[in-house]
Amino acid sequence: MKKTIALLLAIVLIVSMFAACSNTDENTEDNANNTVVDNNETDDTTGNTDDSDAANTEVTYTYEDSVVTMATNWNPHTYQTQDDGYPSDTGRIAIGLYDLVFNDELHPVEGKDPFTGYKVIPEMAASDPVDVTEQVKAEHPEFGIPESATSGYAYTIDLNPNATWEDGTPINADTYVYSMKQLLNPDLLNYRASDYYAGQFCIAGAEAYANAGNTAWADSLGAYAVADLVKGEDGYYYTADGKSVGIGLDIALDWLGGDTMVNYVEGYGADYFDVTNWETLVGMMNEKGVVLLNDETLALFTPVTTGNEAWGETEADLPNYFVIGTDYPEVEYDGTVGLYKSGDYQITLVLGKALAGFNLYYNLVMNKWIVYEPYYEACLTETNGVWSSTYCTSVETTMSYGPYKMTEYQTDKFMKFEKNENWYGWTDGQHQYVDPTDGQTYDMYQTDVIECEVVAEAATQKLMFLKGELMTYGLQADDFATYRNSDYVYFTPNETIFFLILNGYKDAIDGREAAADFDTSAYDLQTMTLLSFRKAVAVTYDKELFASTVSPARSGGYGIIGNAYVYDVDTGALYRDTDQAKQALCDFYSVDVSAYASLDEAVDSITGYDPETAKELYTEAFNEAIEAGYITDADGDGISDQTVQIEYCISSDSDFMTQTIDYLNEKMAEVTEGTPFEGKVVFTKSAPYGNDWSDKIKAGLSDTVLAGWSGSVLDPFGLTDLYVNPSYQYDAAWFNASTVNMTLAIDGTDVTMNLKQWSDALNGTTVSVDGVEYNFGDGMADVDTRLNILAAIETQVLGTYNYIPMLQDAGAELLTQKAYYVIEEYNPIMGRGGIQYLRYNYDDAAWADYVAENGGELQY
Amino acid sequence: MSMQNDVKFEKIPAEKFAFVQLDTNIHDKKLETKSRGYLADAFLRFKKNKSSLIAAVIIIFLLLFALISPMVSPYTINDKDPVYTSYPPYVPAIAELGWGIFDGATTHASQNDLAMSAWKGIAVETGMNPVLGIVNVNTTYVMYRGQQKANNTYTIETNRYFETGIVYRVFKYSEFEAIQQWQNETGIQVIYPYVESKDICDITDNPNIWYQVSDSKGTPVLDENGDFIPAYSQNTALEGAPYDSIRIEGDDGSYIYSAKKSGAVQCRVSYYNYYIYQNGMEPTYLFGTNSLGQDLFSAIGIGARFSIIFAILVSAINLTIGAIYGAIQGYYGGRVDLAMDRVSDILSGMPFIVCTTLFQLHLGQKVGVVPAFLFAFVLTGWIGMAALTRKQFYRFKGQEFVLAARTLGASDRRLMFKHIFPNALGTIITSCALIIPSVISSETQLTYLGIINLQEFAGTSIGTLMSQGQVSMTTAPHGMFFPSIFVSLLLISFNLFGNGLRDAFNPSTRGVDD
Amino acid sequence: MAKYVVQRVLLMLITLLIITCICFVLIRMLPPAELPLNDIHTQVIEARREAQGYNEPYMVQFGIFLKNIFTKWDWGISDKLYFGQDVASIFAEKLPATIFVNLYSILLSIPLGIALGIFAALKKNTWVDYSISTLTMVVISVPSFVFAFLIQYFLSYKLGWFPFLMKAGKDYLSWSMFVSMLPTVMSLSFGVIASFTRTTRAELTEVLTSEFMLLARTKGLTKAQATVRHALKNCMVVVLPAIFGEFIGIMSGSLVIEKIFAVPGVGGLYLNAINARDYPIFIMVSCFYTAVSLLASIVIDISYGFIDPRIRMGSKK
Repeated sequence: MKKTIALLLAIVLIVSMFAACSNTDENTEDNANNTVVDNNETDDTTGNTDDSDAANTEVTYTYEDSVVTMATNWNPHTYQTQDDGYPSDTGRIAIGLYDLVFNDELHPVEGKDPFTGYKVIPEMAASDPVDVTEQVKAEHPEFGIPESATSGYAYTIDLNPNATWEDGTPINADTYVYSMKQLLNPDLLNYRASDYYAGQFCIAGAEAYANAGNTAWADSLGAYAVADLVKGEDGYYYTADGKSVGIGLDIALDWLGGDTMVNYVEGYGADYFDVTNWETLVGMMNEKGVVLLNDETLALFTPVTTGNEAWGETEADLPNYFVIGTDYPEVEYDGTVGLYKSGDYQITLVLGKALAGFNLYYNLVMNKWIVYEPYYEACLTETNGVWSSTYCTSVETTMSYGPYKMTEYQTDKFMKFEKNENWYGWTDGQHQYVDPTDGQTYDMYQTDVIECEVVAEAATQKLMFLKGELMTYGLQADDFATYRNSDYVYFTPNETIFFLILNGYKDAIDGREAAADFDTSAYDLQTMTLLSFRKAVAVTYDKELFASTVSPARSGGYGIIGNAYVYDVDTGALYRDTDQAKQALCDFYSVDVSAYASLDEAVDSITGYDPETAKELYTEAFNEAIEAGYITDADGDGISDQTVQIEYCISSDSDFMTQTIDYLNEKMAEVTEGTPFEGKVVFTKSAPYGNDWSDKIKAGLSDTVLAGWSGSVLDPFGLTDLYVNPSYQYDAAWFNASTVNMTLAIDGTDVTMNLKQWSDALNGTTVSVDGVEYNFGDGMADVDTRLNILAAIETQVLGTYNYIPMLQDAGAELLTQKAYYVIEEYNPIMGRGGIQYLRYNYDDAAWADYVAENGGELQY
Repeated sequence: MSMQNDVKFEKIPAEKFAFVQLDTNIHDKKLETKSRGYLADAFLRFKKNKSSLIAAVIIIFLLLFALISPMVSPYTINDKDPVYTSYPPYVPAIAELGWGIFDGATTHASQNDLAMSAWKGIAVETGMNPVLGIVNVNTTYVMYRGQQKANNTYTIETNRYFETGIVYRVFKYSEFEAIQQWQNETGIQVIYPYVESKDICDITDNPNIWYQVSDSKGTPVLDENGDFIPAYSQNTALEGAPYDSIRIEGDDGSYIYSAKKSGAVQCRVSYYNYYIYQNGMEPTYLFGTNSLGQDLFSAIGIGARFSIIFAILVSAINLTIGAIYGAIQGYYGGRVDLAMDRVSDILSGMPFIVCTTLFQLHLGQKVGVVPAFLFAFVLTGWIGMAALTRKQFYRFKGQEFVLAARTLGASDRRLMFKHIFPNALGTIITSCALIIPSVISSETQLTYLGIINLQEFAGTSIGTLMSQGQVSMTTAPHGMFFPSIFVSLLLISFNLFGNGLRDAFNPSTRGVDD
Repeated sequence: MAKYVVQRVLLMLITLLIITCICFVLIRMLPPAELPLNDIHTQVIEARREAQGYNEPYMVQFGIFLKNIFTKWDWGISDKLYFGQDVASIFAEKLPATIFVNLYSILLSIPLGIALGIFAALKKNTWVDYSISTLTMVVISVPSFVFAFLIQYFLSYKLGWFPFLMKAGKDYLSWSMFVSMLPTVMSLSFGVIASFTRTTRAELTEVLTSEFMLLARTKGLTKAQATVRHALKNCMVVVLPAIFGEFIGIMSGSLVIEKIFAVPGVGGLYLNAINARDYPIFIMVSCFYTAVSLLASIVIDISYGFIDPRIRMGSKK
């Protein structure tokens, strides 16, 4: 589940993209689930073909896929986007230590009907991991396993001795250790390194090694006044716990709305700042953009912000420019990082955070870090101290070890994967399943070849699908009328929720209103920061209507955690169905639960459109806004003189944007009718900000955008980071969760900590408050407690009204007649089986005949 | 010697001169035919060119279309129907005649029995049958899990506007009242009885199911006559607000027409009738709608207005800059020419696409999309004009009438703009007429590619309409068809017109293209 | 003549340098692509930018840029689209598809266009001429992507003659590749054919009516002989340079078409680079387009210079 973070990073789906690419997402994601195949036919139903199959290898099953954007770099250490994950996820050129399969007679799970759950099987590992916490704790104190821990911190994993690279080179413990060493190599600055220490899956010492010799600087968020600091013997200031302190000149600061001081001073110069000392300061800046803090530098810097009337800050504001450095000493890999060789075919894994059960397996399923040493070394180049790698950017630089190997790759055009004959799995008897419908045993991976082509236009995709040239087609809005009742259409829930971010960054808004070209007599921005106003906006929009207007495959979204998230892997129970989650929604939408017969009914009554409540709230907001001086009502007609202007931030213009903004305005006009804001709340379209949109939103310089996040569907708890952890808070960055305290009854005692701490504790970090340590991570606290915490955090986050949920993502696609899914029902963990389980009705030749027979145009 | 002569001549006494002729006036010989000006002459020639004449007529027609269509259309560019998007041409009055035109017809292939029953369900409930006819019946035998099964499908034609059938809408109480009132006045049924999802196998996303079903796909349960069995709710505890208006046939007064939601009521609404309630008219789209639900008929007009005005503006600016620049170049020649040529060389070396992109990126946010776009066109656009003018100047500047004027002491400026320029005018005007289509064409391409987007400024543009149409080209070809036809016609006519003009102004270059 | 050519080439190089410089500075002046905070890539990219002199004055940056190109053929490292990969090699991978598509469309267009032009000129003012001219006019006027869609829908989907998209792979000379390129080639060719037809017809018409044709006929050549030996030869003088112009011209004009038929070429690279703000790629492709357009103009200039020395340089008044 630590994969969450990786996914989260990779998948910021923003409206701007989803209109155009909705189809992409669906395709890539679904295909990852839908595609599967197996090897030599042992298909009893077509028993007569058995022999011919063996004799005649001409029968091939090709999976033809399309993407809008092709992977450009699938190096497990550096890949960035979800598109880049294709070769590994769908192409299966790599496989984890363990893998998930459906439960069936060959992989039974007690008390479960076949194909209703999952089963973990070892793949690159030879057997289940063995917990050796006690032993490692005693023998290797350097990994810092807590004294109290007895399990969950260290495992030995025996490796599959048959595993090889596609060329037959064996894969052994050295491969794993070498690869991890390179992955975390502090010189290489690998993008994926943090996957192995920042989240749930945290290898002991990985962070220390990956940052070795560096100082990591982070915004102090104004937490330390000069008086709080200690002056060291060298004259520099340190925090009480010994960390360096600097002035962040070229570091993005929260105080500057995520921008840097250098940009500000260079942009506005002497108009706003006293630039006398600026050159000197910049000269003293280190390569990280920091000037270490001592009396001299403080004296140089102080006038910059305080010396010019226009900027008008006082010395009390100075701490907002301070950054805190964490020093990482130079260390060796061996003895630092908790992944080492304990036998030729055995590795020992030591974790920084305890992990057990499904989560341990899941992380070992998802994280595939091994690389082929000769290629890896050859692909590394260094210029001016910066390392680049071309490993896994072409067939020549790729070495596969999964059921498939990459055989062709053309940039932005085409990829091809064929069966990897050297894969151990073809002969180990593990990769078989019993079909739930006919009771026969089949080999997994029937697909022989996976071809993936770039098809940019949905219209072309559809034509190709109808001619039998593609396996799936994600339905577009216009296709619903034709295909919604087809036998071949599959609806798939998707985890992403798309919400409207609503600007609540008061400082930034004040700044914008103070600008010379802002006409305060006609327009207003401040009102949108009023809680009453924000509450009113939350009950202005009918979510289902919005979905059906802009994106028919999707449905209305109500919370910040989507409908698809499963909190209990074994039962498949959904977070959204819990009472805690339902209560959170009722609070958000101002629904009085007591007025309904049950909580369920109360939740059912939510449409997002509650004109009665909205009217009251707008009136309340009006009164508050008048009082606060945000707006005026000079003529006393009870209508605001100013129009509240909410800028909708677009990256580039599209129909989707237009439709969204039209809808927002139309409903707003309808709901504010008869209130003091009648006709006075307007969404305007911003200039196309390109990639800057995200910065604009974060800095409060633009007011709203439809955006969404998704994480691992099996870990709703991990999502809290997105909303309360400054490192992941890409949207409403102005919300400082560390300042919001929340009290919850845990085991009968009230516990108070701030939201960030709650979130950390919920995700397995031990948090100490008033000397008591808390950890509500998976397995550390019971599920009900965890749900309570999650729902409480969701309630708090929703309560900021920074996020107005709008859409629940979902996909609908047609599956080719050439193949079928092993089960029709969607399984939250296994999807419909993925490429492993995909079976074919036709081989390639028969399919070509069938397509020709039907005049080259198929009916679905 | 000459010196001496000069001196001598200077000394000629004035009285030695005498007028030759004082009794009669000197005048040119009177013209025997009626004189005809250059323009009139050109016009005469132009009139003889049939194709250009036709082109001129078409241009006028298209211009009128651009001018008038937004005015006569009942819709403005701001009328965007959220449901009727990319819908085909539909005019109810004509559709009723059954001529097969303007009937909102669209073809759906791959309709299985379930789909057919769903269409029937809509027809029975709303009384508006979406199915216009069955075009084709297909039976294919397809393998599924090793078995052959028959796959029966129909290709049908439907009225897209009736297809939508029933939709869910959430109304505030006053709105709910108002619709009932309207229903009472007009007798048109907007609100239909409510159906609880628990009665229809928990289907929540298909408001068109009003009958009993046997599974969550919506397979109907039929009675012995093969009719649907209604599943309307009679659960008054669920009712959102009292209903006191027309009821559907077969309702004994026990059906509920709304469901309670927080602060509002949810209803099943016939979208077609709801449209009439909102707009006071049936949907009437001569060219259909685009992907935003705008009336394509007026949208084309609005897009064309922008394109044409923009093109004329570009031509005018390019003409001015180019003429002056080319005149100076051509007139002075030599080093001036060479130097100026380098400047235009450099500019013309900038690929247009790169130029546009950079202007958009640099200026788009500062001065707006359209001015940035205009700059991009002007930056390199005038060069052709300058070259042309330069050529004309080279041609004329050595000719006798120019020499004569020069001898009489005319200033450079006077020579350039009073004497040479009018001679080059014909060529220049002609090329102006040819620039217009090329500007329109580039603009269309760029808006089509989405490198620039003019929607904010101009409402829409032809290129935008085409790219919108392209998305649903397989389901709604009209979205691509009408704008393409319009722009193609416009470009063809402008080109023909331009050719005609050139022939008329320069009879000597007739038939020669440059 | 040689002096003229050298002069033109030198001028072109200077122009290229100036334009490259302008483009370079304009692109560098754009706000650099946004870098995510707390992202390890940010450090990498910033270190790279540092090495390219991002904090130096623009002209110094340009100097570094030129130096890298001349000494190492190093056009920079992509920092968005193909993270960490060498821009020049990505570009080199994209170039063949564009070249081949354009080459084929020229090979198709020249004979067809010229033949149609000759035909129309010979049958001047008959219905053949009118229909060819009208068709030419229509084809020149209708935007090429409209043809592209028609071809894709009818020839590929309805009739199934061609694949929807250009075939993947690098076997640009194979038959299947050729077939898969045909829809692209056709879409590109229509306009070119039409313009060749128009040029040829116009030139030939003029030549056919000139005095030396009369002379040729009087000296006893048949009409066919005269046309082939004298008229055609003379009119080719104008048409041939146009061929180079067109070839290079359509290369930059095939942006839309490349997108529709998924040609893995330079056009797509350009559009993606703009959208992703991958400036190193953007600069390289801009330079390519610039070079192409200059090359076109110089080829035309020089060939005209050969043909008609009068238009080489302007003369003093």
